[in-house]
Amino acid sequence: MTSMALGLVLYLAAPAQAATGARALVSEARRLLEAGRLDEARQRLERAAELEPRSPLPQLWLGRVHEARGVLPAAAAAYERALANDPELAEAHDRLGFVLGQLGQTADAVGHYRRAVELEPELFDAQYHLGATLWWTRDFAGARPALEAAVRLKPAHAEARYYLGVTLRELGEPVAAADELRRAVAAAPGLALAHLQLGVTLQQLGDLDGAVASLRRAVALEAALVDARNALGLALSLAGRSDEAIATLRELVAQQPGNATARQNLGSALMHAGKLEEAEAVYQDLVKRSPDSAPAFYNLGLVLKQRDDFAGAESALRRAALLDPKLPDAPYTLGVVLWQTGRPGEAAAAFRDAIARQPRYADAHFMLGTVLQQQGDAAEALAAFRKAVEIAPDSAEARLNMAQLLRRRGEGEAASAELREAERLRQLKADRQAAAFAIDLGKRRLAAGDVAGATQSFREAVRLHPEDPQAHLQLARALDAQGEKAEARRHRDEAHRLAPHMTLAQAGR
Amino acid sequence: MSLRRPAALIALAAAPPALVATLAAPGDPKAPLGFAFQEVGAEAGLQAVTVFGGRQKNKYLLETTGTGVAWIDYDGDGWLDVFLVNGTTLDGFPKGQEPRSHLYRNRGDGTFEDKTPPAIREQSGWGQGACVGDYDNDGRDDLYVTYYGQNRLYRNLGGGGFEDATSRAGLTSARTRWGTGCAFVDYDRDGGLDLFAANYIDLDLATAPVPDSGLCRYKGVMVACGPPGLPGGKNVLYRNLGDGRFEDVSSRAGILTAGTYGLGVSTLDFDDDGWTDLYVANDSNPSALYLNRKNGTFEDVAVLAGCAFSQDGKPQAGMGIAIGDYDRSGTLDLFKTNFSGDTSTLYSNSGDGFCDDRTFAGGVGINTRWLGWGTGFLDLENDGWLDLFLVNGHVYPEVEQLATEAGYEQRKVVYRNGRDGRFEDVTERLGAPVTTPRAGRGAAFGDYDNDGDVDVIVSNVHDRPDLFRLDAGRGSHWLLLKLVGTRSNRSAIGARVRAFRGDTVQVEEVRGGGSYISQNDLRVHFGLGDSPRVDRIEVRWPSGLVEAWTDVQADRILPLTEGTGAPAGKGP
Repeated sequence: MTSMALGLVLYLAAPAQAATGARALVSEARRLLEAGRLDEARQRLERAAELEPRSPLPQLWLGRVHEARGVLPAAAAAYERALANDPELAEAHDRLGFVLGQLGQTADAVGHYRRAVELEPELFDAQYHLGATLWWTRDFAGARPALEAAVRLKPAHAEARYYLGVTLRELGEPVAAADELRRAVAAAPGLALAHLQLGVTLQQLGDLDGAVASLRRAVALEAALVDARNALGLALSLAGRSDEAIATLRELVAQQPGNATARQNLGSALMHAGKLEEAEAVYQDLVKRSPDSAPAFYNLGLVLKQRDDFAGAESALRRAALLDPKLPDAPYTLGVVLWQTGRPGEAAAAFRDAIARQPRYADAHFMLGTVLQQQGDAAEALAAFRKAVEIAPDSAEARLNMAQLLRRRGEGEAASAELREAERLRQLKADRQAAAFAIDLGKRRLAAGDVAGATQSFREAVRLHPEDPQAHLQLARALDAQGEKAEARRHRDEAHRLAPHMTLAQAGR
Repeated sequence: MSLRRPAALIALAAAPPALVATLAAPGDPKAPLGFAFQEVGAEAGLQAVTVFGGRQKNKYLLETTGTGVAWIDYDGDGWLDVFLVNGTTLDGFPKGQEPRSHLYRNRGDGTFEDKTPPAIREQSGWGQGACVGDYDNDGRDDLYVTYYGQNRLYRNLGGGGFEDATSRAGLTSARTRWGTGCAFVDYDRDGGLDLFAANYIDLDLATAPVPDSGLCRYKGVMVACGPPGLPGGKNVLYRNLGDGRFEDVSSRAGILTAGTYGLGVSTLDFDDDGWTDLYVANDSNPSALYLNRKNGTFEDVAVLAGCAFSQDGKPQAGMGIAIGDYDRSGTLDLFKTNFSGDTSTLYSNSGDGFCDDRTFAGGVGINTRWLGWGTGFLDLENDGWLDLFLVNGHVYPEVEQLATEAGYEQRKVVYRNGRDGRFEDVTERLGAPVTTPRAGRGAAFGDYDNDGDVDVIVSNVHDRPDLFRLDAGRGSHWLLLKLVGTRSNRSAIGARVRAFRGDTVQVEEVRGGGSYISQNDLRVHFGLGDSPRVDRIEVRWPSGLVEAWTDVQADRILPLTEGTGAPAGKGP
């Protein structure tokens, strides 16, 4: 509320006597408001408004008093009167937006926040409210500049950093998101939601140990935070800590039998652990409890497929596809089942259904091409592969199948080009996998004091994947330990060039 | 906030699956099959236990892969003998108590006796696979045995004796290698058998990560690491110099590509040009089809030919190989076993240089729970249509902790050829012993009792081998051909045989290696259905000579010696 003092100077300038009286009343009302003496504050502000009917400030503070009393329509009316007196009062727009947001009038609220920001870009509250409101409407691209401005204006504001962190992740920048969420956690170590979102982001980045640590912290801070317990179960499952994952999720399910998400995740953890029979039992129970849940039938279909029960899988996936006409995964997986059971015609129809639901579904285009190729429809298959490659240029599989098809059609040169690219992509993937393995091995060697062995592993990782900032940063760390400062600096610089956001703490994942 | 994580579930969805029993079994499930297996290993005297790594827990992948087994008629009496490769453990054994490989002599009465010669008894260590061929053309089958360490060439001296000819043959390796599948092959058609050996991983036990590092997990359980992340072993081709020595020609022959985690190996003439090719099942990598370029070199054409990946373009964990003309199209088709969570792969040879993936269309995509090793085409009913036999067992003994459906010990899978391009899973109908879980690895296919059907010997980890005696249905005829090369290599490896009966033509060949790091019967078997005679047998020898034998009576073992048939043109 830094602009409040300025407002007083601007609007209580004349006429001098009335203004002096009104200003004194507003000042007294603010003190009373802070003391919780709302009726007395309201009386002073109404009197100030009588004295200075064209001043927006008595109305602005009257709105605050109504807000404090919980009478939101009255607050909104007061802010509107303030704006009638001064349409360019940014703070009134912000407060009116806030009240309208509370009243469920989100679009109007956003309009007033935007106007406030236009009028006074340095007004933190307006930037923060605009960003947070757009965040809740999942307009992350719109939220981002407002939240960035809010964070610039108040660097220690944990909630603003929290919203910005999640926004960045949703916009596909998980590394920057993790940085922002770490700052949120540093600013407010007790903010469980920030730990939760940091954990989810680290999981997305593949830092499963880090994810588990953050999610455990979130659960410790707020045991009732169901999402954190769900996410913890999932992260444990992905980290290969199946027993802990299953125990965490079973406990959640026992405490909240109606929590469908927990049951979904328990089933997923059981599937990951290879306990397919138990996973099926979980999903069978879930579809009984939630007979209209497409995800429940979808997951049941998946587990039945893994149990080689293809009739059951087909039935569940067909049901999932019907229940949610927008879910592309259901017809896609149904297509896989039909293909594998030797029914390519029906499989092609299912893949086409998936594509109709999500036209840029690269896997569906690829599978459609594969099935059509099997059916001998080379032209259509080629078109499908080309579409898959257009959407996902790094699909070695699509390029490979396309190369085979082109070769059969006698287009040797085109086939060779696709094959070369497929092989390059496949090798790249294999090298990245091997580099990740070498980095893990090196870290464990470093932790065990085997600096030479660690250096060797990190060098191998750099050789395999020179564009991996982690490999360079970890090698720098190992070289530092060996006193090879100059080479260490070179690799650290390279790491920062490749990933300006990354810190050694992150690389320590 | 939604935490359903559809992405992860979709990722699981992409794991290769299979089909439902009702769709796969068009026949009456209660109808008798007309054939059966009896497991007769113990009563036949095959009592040697294969020792291989830790029983409950493995530190290195080296302990997981088990051993191969070979059919070899080492004494030339017309009865298949057994060579059973043995391994060891990381802890080792006191001197004199080390596990040894075993050579069992077939007594001809359904039983075997251990006649392991001193040269083989002297050798212990991490034995892997074995292949058979008469490399010195002296009329006696020799043995090549792969090891983690130094592979060994055992020259058959006759009279039951063998000598370790590794060093004299120039086959000594300067460093430790992990040999796996192998095959004798006369790739240059000079009449001398050359030698191909796959290598799995360049494994250094001093530096390889161990399960306790936490780096390597399978469904959450810490397991032995690899092969991804470890350097792949490179394959090797040795040319027979004709004087008892070999030279390493891997590089100039085009074999020395990047390390590809090679396991099962088999010879075949994929393009039917008279020059023997090679197929290698690679783990976690595209498989290799080395096409013989007729000039001393090979070219790996597997990727472009379409027999390197799964149908959806993914590298698989290839283990074992079966070769045979299952669809009677006149070309040799391929079948490959893979890891669990995936299907086996059936490639139909199109005849114009391509593989058509028929895994799902052929009905063999219905099993994803089993982890496959040894495999072979065999004619279960002697009806002239090749069926399939798969040996399974999990890699990691630690899976027992998981209480999953498919444990460390797993059942076999048997597919019957429906004669329409599709197979039917008849495993459940066969019941025990096929459904009895074992930790199977290598398997070799051959008619050990000379009764006209193909039996199966299986190497099991920490157990004695199983001998599955097939009792094919009565009334069907058969023919077993023992080919002897004179201008060609004596084992006749690479010879292609066609059997003509009316409008029916069946194709087979004599192959080196096969299955999972094993050696099948070098004789050629044909099931003939209700035909008591074959109109014409045509053999295209590796030398290029083509000969025919006409009006051949069925139900017998017929030796065919190169140069004794009627000339029937000249091969390529």
